[in-house]
Amino acid sequence: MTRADQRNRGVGTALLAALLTVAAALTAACSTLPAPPSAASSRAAANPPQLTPFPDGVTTMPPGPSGGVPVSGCEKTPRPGPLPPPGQMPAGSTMARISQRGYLIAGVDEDSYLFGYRNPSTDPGAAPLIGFDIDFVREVAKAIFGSPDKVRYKAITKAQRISSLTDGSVDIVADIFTVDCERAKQVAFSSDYFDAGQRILVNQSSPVRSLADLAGRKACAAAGTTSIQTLANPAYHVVPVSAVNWADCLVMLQQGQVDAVSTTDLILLGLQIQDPYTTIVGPRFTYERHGLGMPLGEPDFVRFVNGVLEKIRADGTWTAIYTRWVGDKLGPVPAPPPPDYQ
Amino acid sequence: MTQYLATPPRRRVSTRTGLRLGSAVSSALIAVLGVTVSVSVADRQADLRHAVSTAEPLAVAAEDIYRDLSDADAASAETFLSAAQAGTSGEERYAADLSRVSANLAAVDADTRGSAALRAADGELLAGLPVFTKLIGTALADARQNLPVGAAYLREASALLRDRLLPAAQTALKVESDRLKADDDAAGTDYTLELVMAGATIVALLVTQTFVRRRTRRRINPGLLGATTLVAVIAVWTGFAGPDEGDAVAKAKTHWQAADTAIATDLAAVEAHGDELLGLAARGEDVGAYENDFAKATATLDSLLKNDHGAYADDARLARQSWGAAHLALVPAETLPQPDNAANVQALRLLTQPAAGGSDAAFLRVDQDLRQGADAEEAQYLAAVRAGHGDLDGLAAATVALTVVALAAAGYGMYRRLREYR
Repeated sequence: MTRADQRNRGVGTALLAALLTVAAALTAACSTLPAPPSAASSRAAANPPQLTPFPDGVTTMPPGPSGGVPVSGCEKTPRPGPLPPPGQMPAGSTMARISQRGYLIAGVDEDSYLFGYRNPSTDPGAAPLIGFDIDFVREVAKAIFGSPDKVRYKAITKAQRISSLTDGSVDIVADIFTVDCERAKQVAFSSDYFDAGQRILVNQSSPVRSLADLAGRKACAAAGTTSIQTLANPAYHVVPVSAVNWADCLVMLQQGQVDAVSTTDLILLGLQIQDPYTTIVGPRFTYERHGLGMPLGEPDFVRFVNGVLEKIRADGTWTAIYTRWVGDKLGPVPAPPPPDYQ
Repeated sequence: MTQYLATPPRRRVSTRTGLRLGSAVSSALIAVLGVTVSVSVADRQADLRHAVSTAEPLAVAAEDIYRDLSDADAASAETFLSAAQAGTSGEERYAADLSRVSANLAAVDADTRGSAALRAADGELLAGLPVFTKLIGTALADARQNLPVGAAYLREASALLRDRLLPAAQTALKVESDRLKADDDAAGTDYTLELVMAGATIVALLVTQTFVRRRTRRRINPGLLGATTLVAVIAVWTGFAGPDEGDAVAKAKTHWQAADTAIATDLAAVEAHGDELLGLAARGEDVGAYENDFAKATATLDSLLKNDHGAYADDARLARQSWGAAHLALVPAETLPQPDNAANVQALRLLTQPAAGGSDAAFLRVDQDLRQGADAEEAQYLAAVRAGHGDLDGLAAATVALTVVALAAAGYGMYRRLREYR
């Protein structure tokens, strides 16, 4: 049969068959089965990586040679003279310069609960910051101007506590400033306006009850503070963890990343109040005096501020401020710390 | 006819061999051309369909994941800062961002096959998102009780987002964009091979035709003529439709590029807004350099905006100017000593409420402009891809049909001659 012949011999027919086969294969390619999941991916799903992050900037410090200094020995401060009445500052004095400007410029902390923190009030006329430190600044303003409201607050970082005084951008620093000899070379300190000592903040359920219990455990403190240096003392066998600030330490305690936070008890109180399931334990193992910082070379202002502190220690204002912010949360309200004059 | 068999002893190729060879070569070339053109066109159309139906939606989903995560960073900071006030735009944006991220993540998650990088990024996002929302939730709960530790949680969440989630989202975006680009590239290659083959086929058919005419003294072989005509139809059709499709794909790529740029610009804006909000939330703390980050992000934003010629770019540039002014208005609250809460309250209002003259309002306008710009470009991308797909409509099927008929015609024509030389 001729048609059968043609089919057998025509080259094109074979190629046509090939063409149709390819077309069929193309259609089939659209419906391939998905590959089964690999063993590796199912294992990864069964045991995913832990992701709870650390706060930014956390480091574990190696134990260092430094240790806490009980009292630095550099607390001596000029003895105050008689306090001039508000609004009548002696001509040529630092206070007169501030008085002429119309307001006191104070460098303060903006994120230390109870000491200096942002006023939650949305009233535009309210003070921008409130706290224990802020109240002392207001007392100084009251002594210069007769009104505690004549203050302008500049939020500063811990690193700026010294530089803001040396560059003259603020008149006074009230920012949980521990008096030590290194700092006393760069700035002048007022007499002691509050005493504090380093203690330990732990979760209520923690077995840690003292510094000795902390051996081999992680304790957090803010970088650049005397507290982290104390924790790094090899004698304590603590693993010091340095965070950027105190709130980060509380975050790590709440996330179970450290066993304790350790710094002066008043700062710890500011953290403890934010989390009632934590508790401050153990006795103080350092003793730190705190002063208001002022620039070197203005002894008249230091004497004036010491005079203000002297007055408020005597007239019950100090006790009122302490009661307002701390009260009996760290035990009975103490007597004002005694000044240590030159 | 047998007389012709005797005449060519001097010729190098016998007529019979020549006819067989011509027939085989022509048919083979017709068949290969048919397969090549139809498969190539079908492939290109499949690539374009895949681009429209799968790759583009996934690339947009990955893009949105990145953008919405960045915005969640800013919006959560905004909600945190304005915990005491109700009705800020941040709260709604945060909720909308997260639900969109979840939906888009589900879409991307549904097809992570074939890319270990995408699987890893997807896993990181799926694991990290709940941690991020947990940290933000803690920060907001603390903020509502005025506990300063909330700011630390906010910063931790932001660091998690910036250090881990955004890079993962970036990886996912890269993989999905590359997939889309592969589709576009495959569909956009030129038609040189197809056209050269068509030319070769036509030449082969003409040579065969000439050979047949010389050796058989017949004027024209109608079968070969028919096959030549059909192959010419394939060639002309491909020659016109192909470059049209190529142009459409090239245009589509340009639009995708423009959409990409608009989104990069928008991301810079979102990042800058997040920086100024976190800067306010972290003010006075020894953390972050949010003001520097803001300067960097706005520099990127400005340089991208300058070169943006989209329909919405002019309005975005205007809004960016008022944003610059609004941000400058925040600086005194940050650097000058403050007598009272007024500057804080004002800064908070300008940063978190869509009030006229505020950062928030200006940012929202820039953001909206750029997103509309990106949406418009993406719509044009899709339209161009559809046009390219349309340009090829019918070509693959027609090529198969024409090839079959051409083979039959050539076969018939040559069979008649070959039979004579058996």
